[in-house]
Amino acid sequence: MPFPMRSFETMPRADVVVIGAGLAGLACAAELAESGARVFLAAKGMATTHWTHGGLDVAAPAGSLTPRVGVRVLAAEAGHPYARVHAEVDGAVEAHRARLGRVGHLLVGSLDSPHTPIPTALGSLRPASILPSAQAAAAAPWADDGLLLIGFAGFRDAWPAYAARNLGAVEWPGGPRRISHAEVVLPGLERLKNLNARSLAVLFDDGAWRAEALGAIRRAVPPGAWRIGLPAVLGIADHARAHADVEEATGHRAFEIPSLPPSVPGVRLFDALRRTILDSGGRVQVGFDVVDVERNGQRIVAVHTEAAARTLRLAADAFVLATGGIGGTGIRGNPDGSLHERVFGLPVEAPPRAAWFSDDPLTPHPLESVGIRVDAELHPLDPAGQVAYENVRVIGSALAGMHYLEQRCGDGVALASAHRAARSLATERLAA
Amino acid sequence: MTFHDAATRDFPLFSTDACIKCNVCNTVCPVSRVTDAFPGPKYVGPQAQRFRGPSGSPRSPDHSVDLCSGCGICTRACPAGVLIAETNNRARAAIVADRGSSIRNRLISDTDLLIRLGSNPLAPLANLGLRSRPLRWIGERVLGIHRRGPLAPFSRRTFGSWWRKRRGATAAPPGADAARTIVYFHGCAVNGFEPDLGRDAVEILERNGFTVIVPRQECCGLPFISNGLYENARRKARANISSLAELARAGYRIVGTSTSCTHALKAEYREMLDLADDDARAVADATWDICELLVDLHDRGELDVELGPIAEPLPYHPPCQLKSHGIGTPAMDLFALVPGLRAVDSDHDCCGAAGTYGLKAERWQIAQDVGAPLFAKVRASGAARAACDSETCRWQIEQSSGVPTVHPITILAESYRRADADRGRTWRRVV
Amino acid sequence: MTLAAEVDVVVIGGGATGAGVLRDLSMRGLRATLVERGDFASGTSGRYHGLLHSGARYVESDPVSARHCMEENAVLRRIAPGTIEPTGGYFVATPDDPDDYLERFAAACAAAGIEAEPIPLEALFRAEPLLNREIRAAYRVPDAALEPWELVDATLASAREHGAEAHRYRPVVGFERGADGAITAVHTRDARTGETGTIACRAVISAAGAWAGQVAELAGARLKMSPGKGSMLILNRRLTSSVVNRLAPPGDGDILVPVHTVCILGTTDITIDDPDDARVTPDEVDALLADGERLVPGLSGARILRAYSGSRPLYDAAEIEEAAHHEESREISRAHHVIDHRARDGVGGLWSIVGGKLTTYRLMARDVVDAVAAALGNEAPCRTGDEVLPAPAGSSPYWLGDRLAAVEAEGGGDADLVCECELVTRRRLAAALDERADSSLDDLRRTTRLGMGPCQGAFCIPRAAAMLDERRADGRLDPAAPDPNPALRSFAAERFRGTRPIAWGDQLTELWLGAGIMRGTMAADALPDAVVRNDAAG
Repeated sequence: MPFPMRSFETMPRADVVVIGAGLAGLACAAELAESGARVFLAAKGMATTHWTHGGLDVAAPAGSLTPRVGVRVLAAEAGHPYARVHAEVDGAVEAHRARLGRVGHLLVGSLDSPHTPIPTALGSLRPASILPSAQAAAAAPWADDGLLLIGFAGFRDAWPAYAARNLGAVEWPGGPRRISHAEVVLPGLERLKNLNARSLAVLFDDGAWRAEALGAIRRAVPPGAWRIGLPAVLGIADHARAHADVEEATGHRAFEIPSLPPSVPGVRLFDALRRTILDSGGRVQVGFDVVDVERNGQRIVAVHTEAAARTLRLAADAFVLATGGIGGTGIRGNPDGSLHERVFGLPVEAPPRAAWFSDDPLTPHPLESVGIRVDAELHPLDPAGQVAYENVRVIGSALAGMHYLEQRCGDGVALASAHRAARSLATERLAA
Repeated sequence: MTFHDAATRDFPLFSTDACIKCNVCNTVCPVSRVTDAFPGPKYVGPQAQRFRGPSGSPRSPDHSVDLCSGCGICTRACPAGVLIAETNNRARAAIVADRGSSIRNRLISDTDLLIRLGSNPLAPLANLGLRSRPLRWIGERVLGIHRRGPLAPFSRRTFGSWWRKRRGATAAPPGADAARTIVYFHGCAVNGFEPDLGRDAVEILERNGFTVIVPRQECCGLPFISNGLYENARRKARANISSLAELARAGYRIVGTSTSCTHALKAEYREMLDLADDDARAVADATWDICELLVDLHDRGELDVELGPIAEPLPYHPPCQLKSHGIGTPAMDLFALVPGLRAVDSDHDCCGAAGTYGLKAERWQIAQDVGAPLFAKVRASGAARAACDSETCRWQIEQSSGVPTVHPITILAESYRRADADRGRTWRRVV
Repeated sequence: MTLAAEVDVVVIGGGATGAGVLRDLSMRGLRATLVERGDFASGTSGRYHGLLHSGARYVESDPVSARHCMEENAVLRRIAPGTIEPTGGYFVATPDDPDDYLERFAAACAAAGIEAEPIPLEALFRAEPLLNREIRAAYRVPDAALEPWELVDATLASAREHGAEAHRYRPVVGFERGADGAITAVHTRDARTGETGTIACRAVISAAGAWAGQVAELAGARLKMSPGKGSMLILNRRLTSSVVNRLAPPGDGDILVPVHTVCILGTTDITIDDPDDARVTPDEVDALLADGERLVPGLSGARILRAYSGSRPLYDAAEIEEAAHHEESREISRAHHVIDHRARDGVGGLWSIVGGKLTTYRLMARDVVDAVAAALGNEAPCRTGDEVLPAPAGSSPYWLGDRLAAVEAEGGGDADLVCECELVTRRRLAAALDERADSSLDDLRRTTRLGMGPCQGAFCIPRAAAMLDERRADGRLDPAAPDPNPALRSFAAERFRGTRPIAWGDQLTELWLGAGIMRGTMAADALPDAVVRNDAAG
């Protein structure tokens, strides 16, 4: 084309470009912006926050009582991201809690909270220790409370009866003495042609509708001591109040149970973190897909994002790759059995193709540890073990060496690596 | 043509292969936010696409995709790269091919025609009609244009006729320096309804040392595209490409003040109408949004930054069609140069107008509900005016919030004139 | 459903052939029962390419088979139009295809009476813009897409209307033979409950296809089958709207068939020993893609949903004495064979019907039933070609947009969808469960297309399992049905098996999303195996 394209050279000039808007990218951009750096967060789209349960999985490998112990266990595994960033976990989690707290998004639990089994939408149990306030009651000691699982007629992603029967059959130490279930008819819901978790949450944001809905929910609660498990749809913008209203209307503690995507807890988390970035003067652009990279030796000079009829040039001193692994679409598998990292073409560490999968999809696949190998400062390494780019950091599930599902460590690694990268970059800036 | 070529040419439809059913699009759709009648972008886009026959199939199985407003927020949120809104629009075109289109849709899409009818010395009469409640009520009953659809008043004189009277250049002057000459694509809004905006744009460009030429041009055709009337759109598109391609190839930039028009030139001619030959590509590559251009000038240190103060709050809403450009919000960067101006990004998804969508009787309420939080923000700001780069959004925001809404360029032009006044000088157009 | 104690004929095998045999028997007034070891059409019939042959593919290599296909193509369009999408088909000569084959093709089709109309290339590329632009010649033939489960379902329904019975999940475990060696009864076992049963009969027709050898062995007869594994790839969307064949001797990925919302590229042909051991190998995937590229350049870059294999029921009379394997099983005739085991093995009352193609299922059934009916003294003529199958198989031809139009006709809406990808409504699943209350999720998949779309069950598996649980709790699920949790697990495993060979690109990302849901949010790996039948409370 005849003229160079719009370049964010002066307006605004970014110190750091963060690529990817999952938990890691958002946390890193937030911390950088708070520290006074000019941050530009570019993301192809929204993804992992909107698919996941919204709790904070720090580390729950088998045999660990608390996340803190879990981090120690995983940090001892050579090649695990925690081996690099375990020292940051405390600071990262507390910074995350404080940041979210400023925008009214509260977390309950700490690194020393024991892993507590909480019910899933299918009626299984998963370990949790740090949860958003709307889910926190699931992890509190049960004492004499029974568990009442509630679904909404017309909403297809909650299965209270099925879950109740499953939970009655699993080993649940310290669990509720009795489990019951109810399907509640909410005003007008059964007539709706289209209904998913987000549209239901939007309804819960409406105070007038909510009041009617709460009446119906209250009527479904039998006498006795209960704790109520509801679908994770209690509002988006007004969720704190919606959750409080449910507890007040029913007179019982209540907690959300996340189900199939879209994850409303994830949407809230994304919105909250985005807000903190904007409030600290950062820029967030979703729909900015990095399609080209300008390199100069071992430095990345700029990335180009796809725009209409051209690309946009984002120049910066440093770049943070937070594009995720296979799930986040940052790493892609090829027909020939290789894998590639889509933005910088960094070398990807993975088992050979023949060893990618286990036979049972409900068990971990060896391929899940795929990712980019990094040094202590989270610089990506080339196949010879040398730093590939001195002004790039890799964070989050793009990092090699972890089984984030089996070890339930994805969120902790995201936060700790984001924290390490942000601090490292801030130090660099001050030194420069 | 290989699969890859086809994928590039027909790519809205091929991009549906990437859908992983994750539902992110469903979390951001503004129409789904306000009505349960719309199944959401995932359902009407990549999911339904697998049940539609090849282009030109005799029967369309669709209905509910028509509720899609085309805002494109889904496409931008999709982590997999599915061109959802574009797929939806193609499905709408298939419905039109199968079942035809209403007189109303054809009428409100034909802005060139409407301007010929209304933007002339008889405009006051036409505008009286637009303001007349009984006539609007009849318009709703007979044509299906909502009585409160935000229709802007016709201008008595078109921009085109002002340009002719001014003896403005319609072709590249001999020996012209392409780098210092701008082709202005005014679009229908400026031409028939807001010619002053066009004058402000010309003034700003001339201040910055450009010669402006306004070649023959027609409506960009976007209303036809939005309503699935692809053949009508192609006629407009081909006319514009034929008028602009030479200039584009010679290195002239084509600048527009409507983010909708410039998006059509940059992307939709290719993505929606399959116009991807060298001429079309040349025009696309040469097209700029005016704020995009001015920021680029500033990046090079070439922008006249003698801007006078405008000390007021200014709520700014980036239109959906600007977001589709993928260039961020250059207007906000320009506002930062105006002393005292306190511009605030609305941070709201969509104003609801979506071009002709918000005019339709059966869609008006959805459009109002989508924009309601934005209108409330604008009102609550206490500002005397708001700003937005796209015309139908401006008219929607102004009507529904009660706050006059202008193009960012209008603010900038005013700021330049304020600087002139402060320095006791007047800027004269160099002819 | 309890087994009949005594019938005229027991039919073994519930694929298309067995169903066709049962229908023909019952229409001739013979009392018959069919037993199938798994779900109906879960063998080769459920794992084939989806093609209703015009016969043009076999004009050179197997003219008998070609003629059979041509004739039955017309018959099936008459009796089962609803199972057929009249896509039409093309035979195209790519640069790799031999001149001589092209030259002989038209004449061979004419000689066989198969319509093969030469098509100008411009028209071909207008209709199918993705085809290789270096194709040098093309013919139009009456190929079509044929839906096997609906065909088998409707055939069985017709058989039931005429008084027959069909049982699934009833493998045959043995035979009773009289003093003269003739079969007098068949022993079966309910695969789910373990319950055994015996059916006395005068004749047995083994329509077990690739497994016919195993059945024969149980009866003391010998029958050497050479199962030909055929692997195929399912692509996420239709790359062509018609069937497309290459003008060459049959190869690996040389046919592309649009089937419902996907298209299927196939098919390899590798002789295997055990028809249950049909797994798609990486070499096969590579071969299919390489061949596919010749038809649609760039096809390797399209999204592939899964890979699967079926076992062709190939039989070679000459091999019966030897234990050798064929290198290339394609040379074996596809024409079918009726084998009377009394003459050959001294096992009276047992006939096997082997070979053939799904397109000719009705003809195969007729031929074996002719032989058996004669032996039983029944002289009723075959009328299976005259009577239209019950609706919906007997109604209007399939249209891709049908399901979407049906959902849209009611004002659109996803609230009622359990499987969103394939637009399977709650109502449709409920009807399928009403009809067969012992269904697993995989069984439901066959009749409704549950889990057959891009997400391969990531969203619908939990929803459908919850439906099973709901029915089990209020007594509407057959006790023989699998429990919801094992059903969930086995269906998830089955879906994964098909994804594994092609797990790259978008489908690999999809797999990760599914894992995130199942193991992350749902912790499905920790579900209990069995759940107490009575509720603890509530």
